Amino acid sequence: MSNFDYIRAADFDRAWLNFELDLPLEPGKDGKPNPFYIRRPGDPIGELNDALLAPFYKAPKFFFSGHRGCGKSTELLHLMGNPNIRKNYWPVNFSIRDEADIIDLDFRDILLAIGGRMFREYRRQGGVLPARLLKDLDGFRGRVEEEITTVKAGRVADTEIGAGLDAFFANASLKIKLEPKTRSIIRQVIERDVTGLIDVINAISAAVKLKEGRLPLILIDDLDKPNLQEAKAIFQERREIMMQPTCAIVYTVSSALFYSKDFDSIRDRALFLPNVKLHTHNFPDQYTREGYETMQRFVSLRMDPGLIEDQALIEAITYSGGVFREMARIMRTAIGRARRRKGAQVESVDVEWAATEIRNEYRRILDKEDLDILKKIHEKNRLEYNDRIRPLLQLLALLEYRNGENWCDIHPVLRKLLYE
Amino acid sequence: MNDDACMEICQSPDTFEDKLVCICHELELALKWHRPSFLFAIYDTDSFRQFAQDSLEALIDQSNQKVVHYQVDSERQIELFKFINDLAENKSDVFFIQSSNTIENNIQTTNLISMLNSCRGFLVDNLVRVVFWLTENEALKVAHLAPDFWASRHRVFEFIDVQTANYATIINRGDLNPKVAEDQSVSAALSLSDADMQVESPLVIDFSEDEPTFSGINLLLMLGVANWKEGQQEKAIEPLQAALALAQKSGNKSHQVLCHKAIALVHSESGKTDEAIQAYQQVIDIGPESITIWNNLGQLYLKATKYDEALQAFKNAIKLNPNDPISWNGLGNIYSGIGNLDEAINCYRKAIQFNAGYISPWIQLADVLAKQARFDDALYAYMRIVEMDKKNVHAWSEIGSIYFKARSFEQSVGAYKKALILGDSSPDIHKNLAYAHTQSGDYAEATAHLLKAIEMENDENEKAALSNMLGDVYRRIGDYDNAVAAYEAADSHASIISESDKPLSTQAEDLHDVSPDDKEEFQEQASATSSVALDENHGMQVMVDSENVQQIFPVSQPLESLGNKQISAETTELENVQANLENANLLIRLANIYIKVGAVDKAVGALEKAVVLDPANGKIYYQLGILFSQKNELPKAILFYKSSADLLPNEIDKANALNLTGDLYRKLKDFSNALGAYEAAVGLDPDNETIINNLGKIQEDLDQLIAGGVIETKDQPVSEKSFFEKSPDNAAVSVVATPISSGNVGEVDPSIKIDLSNPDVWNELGNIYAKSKAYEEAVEAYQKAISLNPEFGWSYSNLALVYTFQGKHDEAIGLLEKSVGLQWTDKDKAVVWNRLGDLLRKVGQYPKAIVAYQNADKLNQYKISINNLHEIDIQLLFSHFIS
Repeated sequence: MSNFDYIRAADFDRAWLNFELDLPLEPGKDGKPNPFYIRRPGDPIGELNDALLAPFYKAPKFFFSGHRGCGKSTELLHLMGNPNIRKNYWPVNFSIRDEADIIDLDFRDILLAIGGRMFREYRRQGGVLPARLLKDLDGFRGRVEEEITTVKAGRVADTEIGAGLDAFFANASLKIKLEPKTRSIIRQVIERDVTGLIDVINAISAAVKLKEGRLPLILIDDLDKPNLQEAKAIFQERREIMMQPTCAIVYTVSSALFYSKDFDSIRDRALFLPNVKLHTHNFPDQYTREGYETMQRFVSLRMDPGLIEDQALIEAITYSGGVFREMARIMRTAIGRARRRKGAQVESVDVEWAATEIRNEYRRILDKEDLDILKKIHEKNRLEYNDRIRPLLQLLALLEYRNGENWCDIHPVLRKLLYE
Repeated sequence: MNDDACMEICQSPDTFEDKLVCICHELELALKWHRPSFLFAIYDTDSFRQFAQDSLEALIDQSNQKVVHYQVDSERQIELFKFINDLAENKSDVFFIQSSNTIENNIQTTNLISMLNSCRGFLVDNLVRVVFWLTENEALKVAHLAPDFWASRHRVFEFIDVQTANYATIINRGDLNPKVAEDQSVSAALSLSDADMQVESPLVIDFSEDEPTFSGINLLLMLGVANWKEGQQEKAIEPLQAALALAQKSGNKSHQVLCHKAIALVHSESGKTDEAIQAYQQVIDIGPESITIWNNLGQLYLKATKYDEALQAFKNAIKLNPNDPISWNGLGNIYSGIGNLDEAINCYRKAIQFNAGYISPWIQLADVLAKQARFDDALYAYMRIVEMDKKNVHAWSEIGSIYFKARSFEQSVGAYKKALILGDSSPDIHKNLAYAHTQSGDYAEATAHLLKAIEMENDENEKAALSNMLGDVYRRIGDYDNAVAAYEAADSHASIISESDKPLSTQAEDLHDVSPDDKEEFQEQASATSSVALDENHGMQVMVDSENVQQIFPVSQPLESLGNKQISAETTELENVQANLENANLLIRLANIYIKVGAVDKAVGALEKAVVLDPANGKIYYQLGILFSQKNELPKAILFYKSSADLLPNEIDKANALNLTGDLYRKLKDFSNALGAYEAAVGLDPDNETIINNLGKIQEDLDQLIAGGVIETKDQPVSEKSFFEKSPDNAAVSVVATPISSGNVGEVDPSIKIDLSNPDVWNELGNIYAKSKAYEEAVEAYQKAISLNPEFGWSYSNLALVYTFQGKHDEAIGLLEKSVGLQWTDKDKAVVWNRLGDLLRKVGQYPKAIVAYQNADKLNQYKISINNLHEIDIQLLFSHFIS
C-alpha cells in the first residue's frame, strides 16, 4: 500500500476506495502522520508514547489492547512514525500473521518471529551485523537444521552467512506459518533451548543498538487474534520468557485477555484503546460533541463533505457507535447505494440502507439469548465482563466505552433489532 | 427523505437483481482500485445458490471478468491459498468459493473458516476478489470461528429472499419431486402478488422486448413462475416462452438455459413429462452438459417409467462426475424401482460414499435393507439418518419397528415415542406403540394408545381390529366389563363394514357375518394346528421362536409318531386338490401330506408345480433334492440341492444344501466335486461338525485314491434331512419327511397309495381346503377325520371354525364345546375356550363369552398368547401397519 494516494475523494468511486476497511494508515517517510490519520479525543496513544519515552532500567514491554476495529493497527503505525520514538528507538512493526499461524500460536513462534524479523529488517535496511554474531546465529541455524531438513536454506559459503540466515529465518517463519508438522518440530527444537533463542534475540538487539545507537522497538500487531486460551498460555504462563528479550516490545493483546483476572498484575504496563464515545453513559440521546467531531473529521479527511448530507453524516456517525471500522463500513455501503441510484450526495436513505444491511447480518448471527443479554445491557449500559459477553464484544454487537467508569452499549444498528 | 420513507425502504429488501448488480459494482470497484473484495453470499438452498451463481456469473462475464469456481473438499482445502496465489496473477478473476455440504466437508469448511481468520492478510495482499457462498450455518461459523475475517467482510448478500428468489429456487432445484412443490413452505414462499410485480425495480425499468436485457428476461421468468404458482400452467408457459425468445435474441446462452429449465419445470409439475424432457434436452443441446440436468432428466424418465433412458441419464451424470451422490441415488432409485434391490443398495452406498451427509440415499438404503429383512443393517442406516436429522419421523418409526421385531420392546417404545413427539400424527404410531406396550406388559399405556388409535382411525375395518385388540388387553388385566364393551364396539365396526361393503357376490364366505380379521385368524390358526413340513412363510420374516409358536398354536398329534406307514389308498381326492391349487404354500403343504405317506412321486409333482409358482423359493428346491435323492435320481437331486444353495437366504441352510450335494457326489464317486461342495459348505458354516467330518472323510478318500486304494462308499450315510429339521426358524413345524439314509433311498415304492384311513391326513386336507376357501370340502375332510378318530379334538375345533365361516354358529359352538373336552393339556383347552369365547361374542352371547374367556385365562396361567394378542397376529398386524 506504499503507493496508495491518500487524497480526499471528490466523487463516490474514490470515496468508496478511501473507506476501505483494511486501509493501513502508514506514516509518511518524513515522519509526518498519515493524511487520513486523526487524533482521538484524549489522545490515548500519547500515554503509550510517553511511557516508551520515559527513562527505563530494563527495556520496556507494553501491552496494547482495544476492541476490534478501534484502530490499534493505525495507532501502532502512527507510533512508529512518531519522530521522538524514531529518535530513541529503531522501530520494527509487523503483524504476527506474516510470521506465524495465529490459529495455532505459541510463545516460541513469537520469539522466533521477533528474532527473525529484527534480523531481516536490519539487513533489509542495509545494516551490517558483526561477523561473530553471524557465526553464532549460524550455529543456532545449524542446530535447528539438524532436525528439520525442510527449513534448510541451502548450502552457503562462509562469506554468505548473512544471506543464508536471511533465508533461514524467512524459511522458518514460512514453515511455522504454513506447515503444522514442521512447526511442531521447530517448537521442540526451540523448547530444548529457549534460552538459546532468547540469547539470539538479545544478541541481534545488542548488535543493532550498538550500530544504530537506538534500542530496537518491536511493535507486534494482531497478537490479539488468538483465542483467550492461547493468549493466556503465551502471556500468562510464559510471561517471564516473553519479558526476557532486551529490546523494547509492544505486544497487542485482546480485550478478553486484558480484562481477565490474571492480567491484573501487569495491567500497569497495558494500554487500552477505547472506542470513540458518542453519547454519555446512560443517556443515549446526549450526544458527545467531541466524539461526533472526531468521526466527522474521519469522514471529511477521506471524502469531500459535499458528498454527504449533514443529517446523513450524523446518522452514519450514530450508527458507527464510534468504531472506525464500522464507520468505514457504513460509509462505504451507503456510498455504494448512492452511487447506484446515481445520487449526488449520500442521503439518509442510503445510510439507513447500510444500517439495515448490517443489522441483517447480525440478525443471522445472534440468537435469542444474545438478544436478551444485549437488551439488558442496552437498558443499563453496565459492563459485566464474562464468557457470555466476550463473543458479543468480539462481534462488535457490544461496544465498550471509557469515561471514568467503563461502560458499554450495543451496536447502534441493533437497537431496532432488539425491539422488533 | 423522511423517517417513514426510510423505514419503508429498509423494510423492503433488495430485489434479486439489485443484489447481483450490487455485487458486480463492488467487484468492479475493487478491480478498478486494485483492492481486495470479500463478499459473502448467504443462501438457503443449493438450487437457489446455483441460480444466483449462474446469474451473477452471466453478469460478470459481460464485464469481461472471469469467474473461477472453487469448491472446498477434503483434498483441495489445504491448497486453497496456493490455488488463489497461483491465479492471483490475473487480477480480473473473481473467485466463487463454496463447500460441497457433506459431513466431511463441513469439517473441512470449518477448517477453512478457521484458516481464513489467519490468512486474511494473504487474501488482502493478493488483492483477491472473492464471493464466499455460505449456508446460513456456515455464515454463523464464520462469525464465531473467524471473527477477524467476519470483521473484514465488505458486504453480505442474502439469497434467501422469497419475493425474488423462489422462482429461481424452483427452476434450479435438483429435485423434481412434486412433493417439494406441494410443500407449504415453498408454496408460501411463492407468494408473488401483483403488487410485487409493480414494485419499482430495475426489472421494470429495463424491460423492453426490442432490447432484451437480463432484467427483462428475469421479469418474464418471474411472471411465468407466479402464474404457475397459481396453478395456471398454460399461462405460465407463455411468459417463459417469451423470456426464452428474448434470451435467444440476446444470444446469451446462460439465459436460454435458465428459460428452458423453467419451462421444463413447469411442464414437469403439470405432468407433461415428455415436454419437460424435451426442454431439458434443449438445455443439453445448448450445453455445456450439466450433472443437474442429467439428474433431472433421469428423474423425469423414471417418472415416465422409461427405465432405460433414466438409467442412461444418470449414467451420463455419473460420467461427468463419478462422485456425484445425486446421480448414484437416482440410479439406486431405478434399480429399486425394477426390483434389483442388491444393485440399488450398491448405488445408494456409492451415493453415501460421496456424500455421507446426503440423507436421501440413507433413507432409501435403510428402506431397501428393511425390505430385504436385513434388519441389523437397516437399523444402522436408520440410526445414521437420525444422527443427521434428529427429527426424521420415518426413521424413528422404522427404528421402532425393527426393535419390535427384535423383541426389544422398551427400545421400540422409545423410538415410536420419539416419532410421536416429532409429529407423527398417524393412527399407526399409536397402534405400534400399543403393540409394543402390550408386549412389554404395560397394558395401561397400551390401552391409552389403542383408544387414541381407534379415535383417529377412519377405516371401520381397522377400528374393528383395534377394538378387538383393546378388548383383549382389557381381558389381560381382568377388566371383563371393558373388554366386552370393546368387543361390542369391534363387532359394531365389523357390522358397519359388512353392511356397507357387502358385495353382491354369492360366494359363500362373503355371505357370512364374519369380519375379515376372523378369516385371517382362521387361516392362521387352521394352518398352525396342522402339521406341516414346509414353511409357508418363507417369504416373510418369522420372528417368533419355536417355543412361542408351540404355545400359540397347539400342534396336532405329531404325524411322525404314526410311523412311516406304507399306506395304500386312492389319491384322487388330493390330486383334485392339487389341480385346483395355485398357491405355492398350499402346494408345499400338500406335498408334505404325500411325503408323510411316502407318495414321493406325487410330492414331487406338487413341488414341481410349487416351483413354477414360486421359482425363487430355495426351500422347494431343497425338498425336491431330498425327494430325488430318495428316488435315487442323484444327478437331479444334486441339481436341486445346488439351486437351493443359491437361493436359500441364510448361510447355515446354504451349507446344509452343499453338504448334501457333497454326500451325493461322494455317492457317485465324484470325489473332486464332493470335496468342492464340502469345502464350500464349511466356508459357510465353519462350526458344523458333521460337515467338517465329511470334509475330513472326503480328504481321506482322496488320499486313499491317490495311494491307489479302493474306496467303499456303499455304506456311507447320506446326511440328508428335511430342510426344516435344520432350520431354526421353522422348527416350530413338525418334521415330516422321513430322515433318509442311503439305506432307504430307492426303497420307496413310487406307486405307493395314501391311506385315507389316517385321520391326520384328513385333518390336514381339511386345512388345505379351508385355506383355499373350499369350505364344503373342508367340512367333509374334517368330518372324515372325526369319523376315523372321534377323539381327535383339533378336527372338531377346525370344523367349528369352518362352520363359523359358514354362519353355522350353533353347530360351531357345540363342536368347540366338544373339542374342549377332548383336549389333553390346559394350554390346548385354553386355546379352544378362547375360540369359543370369540364365537359366543360374535353371536352376541357376551355373558357366556366372558365365562369362556375367563376359563381360557384361568387355564392359560402362563399368559401365553391365545387370543388376538398372540405373537403371530401381532406380527401380521404389525407388518400390515408398517408396510
